[in-house]
Amino acid sequence: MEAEKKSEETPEKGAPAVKAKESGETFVEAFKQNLMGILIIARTDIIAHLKSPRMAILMVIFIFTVLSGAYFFAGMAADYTEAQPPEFLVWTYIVNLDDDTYPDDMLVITTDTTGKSIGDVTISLFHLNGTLYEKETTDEVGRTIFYDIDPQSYLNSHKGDYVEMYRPVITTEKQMYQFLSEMELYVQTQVADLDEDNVADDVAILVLNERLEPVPGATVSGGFDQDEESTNAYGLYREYNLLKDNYEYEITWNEVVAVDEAEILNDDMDIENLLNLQGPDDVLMQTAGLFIVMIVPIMAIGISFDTISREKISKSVVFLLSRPIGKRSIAAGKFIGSLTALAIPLTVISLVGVGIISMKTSESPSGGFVAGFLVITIVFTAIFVLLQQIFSTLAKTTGNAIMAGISIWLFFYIFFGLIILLINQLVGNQFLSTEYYELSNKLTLFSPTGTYGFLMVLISPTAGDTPIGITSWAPALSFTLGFVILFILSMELFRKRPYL
Amino acid sequence: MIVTNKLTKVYGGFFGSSVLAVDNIDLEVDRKDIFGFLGPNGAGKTTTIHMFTTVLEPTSGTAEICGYDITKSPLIAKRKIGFMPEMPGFYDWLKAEDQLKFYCDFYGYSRQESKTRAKELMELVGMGEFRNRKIKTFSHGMRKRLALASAMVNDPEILILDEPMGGLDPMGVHSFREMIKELNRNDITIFLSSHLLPEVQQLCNKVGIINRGKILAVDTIDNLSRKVGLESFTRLTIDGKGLSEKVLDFIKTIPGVAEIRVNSQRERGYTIIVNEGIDIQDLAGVLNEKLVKRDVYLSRLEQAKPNLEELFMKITRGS
Ligand SMILES: Nc1ncnc2c1ncn2[C@@H]1O[C@H](COP(=O)(O)OP(=O)(O)OP(=O)(O)O)[C@@H](O)[C@H]1O
Ligand SMILES: [Mg+2]
Repeated sequence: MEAEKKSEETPEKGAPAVKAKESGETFVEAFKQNLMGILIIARTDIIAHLKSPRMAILMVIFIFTVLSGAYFFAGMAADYTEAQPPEFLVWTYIVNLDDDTYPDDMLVITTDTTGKSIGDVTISLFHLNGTLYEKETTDEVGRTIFYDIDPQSYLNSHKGDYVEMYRPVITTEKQMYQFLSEMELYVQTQVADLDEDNVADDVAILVLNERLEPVPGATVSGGFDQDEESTNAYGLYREYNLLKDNYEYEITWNEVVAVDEAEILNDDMDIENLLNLQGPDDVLMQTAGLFIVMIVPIMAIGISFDTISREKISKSVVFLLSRPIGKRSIAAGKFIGSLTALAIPLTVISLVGVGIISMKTSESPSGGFVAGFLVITIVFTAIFVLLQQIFSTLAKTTGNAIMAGISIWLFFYIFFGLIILLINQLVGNQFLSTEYYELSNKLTLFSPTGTYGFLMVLISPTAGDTPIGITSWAPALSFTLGFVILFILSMELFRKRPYL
Repeated sequence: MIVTNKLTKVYGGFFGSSVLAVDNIDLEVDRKDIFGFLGPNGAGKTTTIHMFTTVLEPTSGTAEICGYDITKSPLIAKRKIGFMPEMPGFYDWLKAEDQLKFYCDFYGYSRQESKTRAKELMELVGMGEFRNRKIKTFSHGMRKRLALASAMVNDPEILILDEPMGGLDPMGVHSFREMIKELNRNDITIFLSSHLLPEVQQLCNKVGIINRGKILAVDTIDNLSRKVGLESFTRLTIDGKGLSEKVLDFIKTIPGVAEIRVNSQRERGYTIIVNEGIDIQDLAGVLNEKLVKRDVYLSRLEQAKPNLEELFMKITRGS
């Protein structure tokens, strides 16, 4: 900041003036002086903002919202278990299939998710300590039998070393045999991800008759929505996307009734499934997309609602205007002051948030993503600081400036979505159709809030698909243009407005 | 030092009604002048001053500060001036010294220079002891003093003061007058607007009178008075037994005596009209010394200076 040191001491005049050229101002001199002025104003404002109780209050709000958001999301991500759709289903029935009197034989059936048999699958039976007991391969109708198994617990597996499913084999006992021999229906239930939405909230029920043949047309009734009416040609009944609960149901066939139950442990309504919270990157993205996007405009309003009006009201702006600095530069200095004063604590707190996410999920978000997130968030902050500074310049009273700021925040945060809905209705796009999404995404580019979300999705390592209807560079362009236009507008309005 | 050419300012006008606050004024302020800018409330003084200091942009016309056009070379022009606004506003949360250092920064002082300068200026305006006090605790008079210090940070060639003594107590007015005189002795041209006519009369060698945006007159107070027929005069009345034609003829020969008139019967004696620019006390001394032995004595000494207030009223009412 110490621009040029005085080389020659002028005894009379102490002012170390940039030597005036007789011809008047040169562009370079003016530029240098303005730049210096901008830095001086910014520096003074940064210090004043950082020391102000208002900043402390805003940061407490920010810390509470963002850090608690990051903490909870990270906790959920740590608990998240993603279900894989099964390649095939393995059904096991303990029955008596040979001539002895014990149900110590095991029928294994392999089917796809529709119940159709899949043959040539190797099933291995392990002791619980992991040592192999026996191995069989299913025939062309997807069946194989292990005879006379020693009464013990086992694990079964198929396809070599890949263990897809564990199922303890029941110890064979006399009573068990009697119970089984009286049964007329064999029912087995599996909870799996049948519709491939990565949530194990679907149920498959395979129904066999006493001869262990599939039973088509058996009805299932109980706590289900009844996605299907009855078992299909392969004897399989399916129910999709169940909510977390314990389900009991009855299977009826030829007046024979059997009961079974299924327990759904995860469902679509789990927040980690809703938000797709799979790892630290997702946690960061969702924290930004849900909390930071909401709270940053409040920070911007809180810091800059009176930056200009306070100078006008106290008339300190008159002193400032008589200093060797252009009017635009004063506005620019004020903006840079507010932005930096906000960006410093926001960055620090965000990094603390990243630390919390890393600790909770025992994995760090990718460095590039964190850097991109910080840059985008600071530009987002800048846009709202500029909007608020413009209101502070235009508004007759400080109260009006705050009201305008809160209104624009509400507008983008809530009403903009409604307007998009309305426009879609006006042009006749069906709700949630492709055209609907395309138009909505295009319109969202006019909202900094929406564009922020787009940018976070685009730079995220896990969810990097471009939203449909827009090109991948459109959100960045929208952000840059918005920033530049508002920056110029804030300076020009300050130049044009009367100050007194 | 300040030259304006058809300087004009119109406020508003885009939606509401417009106000022609400054109307084609031509002014010239010379080096080392103490120029008093006078006019009734709402005449356009502050508006003019704000254009000089580039707080406002002129609607039309130009103004030059030390030869630099305020619209073409505003930054250089601003380096030449120090400005004390009518209602000085500060960053109230700062200490007085920090506020001055902040202003110093704009002129490229080093940190050390700023510090010394701020300290010097606080001493200069008699506020040395309040250097480290927060501005929000300052009284009106203290703010005025700080404003003068703020105007002085760049050691300006021209000091533009808008109502510098408004709202000050008599002591404050006095010390401001002395400070301004001192600064002027140090080669600083002063341009000040004021309503305190006695102060203007004591301070200013030249005044400009503005009303409703128009300049009505610019000249020295004496010249203006003469123009509007407000004469200044100095006269002595003599009486005594020794008065004779001879003595009167003798008095006429004394340097500085312009004329002798006979007074009316009731007043008795004679009136001596004195040449302009003569020190009346000296002349009285000389006369006394020479006339006492002739049994003539000085009975009265009258000095009528042109009254600025009267002048001001006369000029502004006439417009
Ligand atoms: N911001 C403004 N908008 C519109 N009109 C204004 C504005 N500021 C001043 N005026 C008008 O311009 C005229 C000149 O005002 P100015 O403040 O220059 O007067 P002044 O001579 O300084 O008066 P005072 O002695 O009361 O300080 C007045 O008629 C005033 O109403
Ligand atoms: Mg005024």
